[in-house]
Amino acid sequence: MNRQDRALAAVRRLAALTAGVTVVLGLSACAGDDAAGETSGNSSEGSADETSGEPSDGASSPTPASEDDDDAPGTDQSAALFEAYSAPEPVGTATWEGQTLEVFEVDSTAAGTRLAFQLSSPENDHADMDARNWSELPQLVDSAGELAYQPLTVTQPAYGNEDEQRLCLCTGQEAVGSGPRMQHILYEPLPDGVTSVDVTYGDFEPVTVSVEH
Amino acid sequence: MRGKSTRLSALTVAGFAAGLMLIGTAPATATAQTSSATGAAEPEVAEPDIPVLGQAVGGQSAGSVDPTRQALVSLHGVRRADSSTVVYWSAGWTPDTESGDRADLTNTFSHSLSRLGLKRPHGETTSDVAVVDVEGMKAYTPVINEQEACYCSDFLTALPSEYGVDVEPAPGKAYVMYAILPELPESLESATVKVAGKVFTDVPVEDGEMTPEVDADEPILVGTGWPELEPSSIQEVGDLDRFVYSLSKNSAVLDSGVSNREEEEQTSIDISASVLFDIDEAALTENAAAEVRTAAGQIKDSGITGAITVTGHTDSVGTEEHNQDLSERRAEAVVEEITAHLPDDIEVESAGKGETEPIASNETDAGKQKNRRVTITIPGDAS
Repeated sequence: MNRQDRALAAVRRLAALTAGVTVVLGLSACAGDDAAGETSGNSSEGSADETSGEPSDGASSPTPASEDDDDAPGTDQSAALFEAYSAPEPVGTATWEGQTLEVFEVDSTAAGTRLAFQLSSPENDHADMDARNWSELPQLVDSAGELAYQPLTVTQPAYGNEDEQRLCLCTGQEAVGSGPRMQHILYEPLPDGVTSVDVTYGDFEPVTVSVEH
Repeated sequence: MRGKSTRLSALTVAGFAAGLMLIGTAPATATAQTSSATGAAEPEVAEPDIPVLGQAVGGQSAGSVDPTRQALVSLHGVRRADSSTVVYWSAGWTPDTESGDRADLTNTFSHSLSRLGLKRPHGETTSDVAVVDVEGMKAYTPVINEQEACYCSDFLTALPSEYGVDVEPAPGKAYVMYAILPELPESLESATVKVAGKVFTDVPVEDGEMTPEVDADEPILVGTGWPELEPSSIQEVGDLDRFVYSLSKNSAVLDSGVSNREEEEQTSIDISASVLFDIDEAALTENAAAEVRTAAGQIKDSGITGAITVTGHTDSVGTEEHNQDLSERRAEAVVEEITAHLPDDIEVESAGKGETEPIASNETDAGKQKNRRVTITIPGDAS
């Protein structure tokens, strides 16, 4: 999944670069088309919005775009958006007292390390979780380095009646159900030499997974 | 039309990028070539004509719920605009979802114990947005004004509602959300983004608001436009640094009671009081020496010189006065032991904070254990 994310991001960056180069070079073969397109293209898209692309459910209708490098076509893209999502496959699992821990990914870059995992309880629609605090969440254990990496946290200052509190950069769930509930946790970047880690979580047996760098 | 050119370019480059990915994965290449060579029909997959920088599906964070109830969260943009930052994202029930209203939808985002942003009466669940600069050790979060209103989507207006409908918003429909954050460092080209409890790494930070813009006070189906905003309006709030939090990198040394917290201006080495002292005692146990040596090794590895501080902390059990006294005596015991393992040019100071500086919740046993500690503070980044 994260590989897909990065690919998508790369595509966007490359697309932006390509668009920029196209503008700068002023590709003569396309210039006339572009110029024509700015008029007819916008108006035709506007027509499409009002006919086939009319938003439902009380959604806003788009106003005519004044820019020519819009980030949306003006029509509902929901179907394509849901179609674009691909569910990740687990790379390791463990079970404990009827609950299943599935690990989908440990992906480490300079921007941090993302763990994707989920807990499920096929026989129980609602099992409370013991681990609700950042310090009780899954750890990434590097045995060779003799370190267990814990979630990145931020310290949120006291506010109103709330005390100062330390929060993880994570999904956070307080219950396990029969259905999937994907969770993410952000850790610090792992050293390049760390190629696999044991994901440890409460009483589950460690799940050994490869680290994507 | 440049917009059209951009989208065509995106598709073209997507094909090129896909080719690069296939080159990097031999089996996939073989499969693709075989498929192409045999002329097998490829299933037609629609591609959204909008930026998609990350996607994840999540279920409701609490309670017994319909297991089909799943929400898709998509990240569309992190944009610099008018000395601020705008994060564009969307959310909606998956096509297979069979029950759930818009409040249920927002409950899939993140649990309150991990939800960033100061508390506020409305819009709270859609404010769990952060742009994280891990290298800079900062997390940028949505701005909140004096009326405790978030500069972010209010789910009451961002999501449609129709009384008596089993599933609302309709399954398979995604709605645009936004959050306005303080300005990011100019040098930050990509970041990690937390949105609605999901984490996406390596997200490009780009310039300019997303277009076309549409009325932000009504539900916006994804693709029909992006909310019309005034990002500069956050400047009226003032003291925007309040919404930028410092990060802590946390790790534990295996087979010991020693853990590390690396922060922007200092590194802290915590030694669990449970392995140093018996309950309510300030004399080191027989096992304490090994733990203190481990901590001393961490300090020496950091290469620091000058002063470090050893500070005792307790959980919230007992009176404040007792905990303050206990923390001071425990710190002094550790100073006496650790000084023998450190170079002479490191000066060791002692302090006690009692129960005033917890690092975990005192509501759980695990949290209390985490809070009972002796912390060695080293100025600067010790890594």
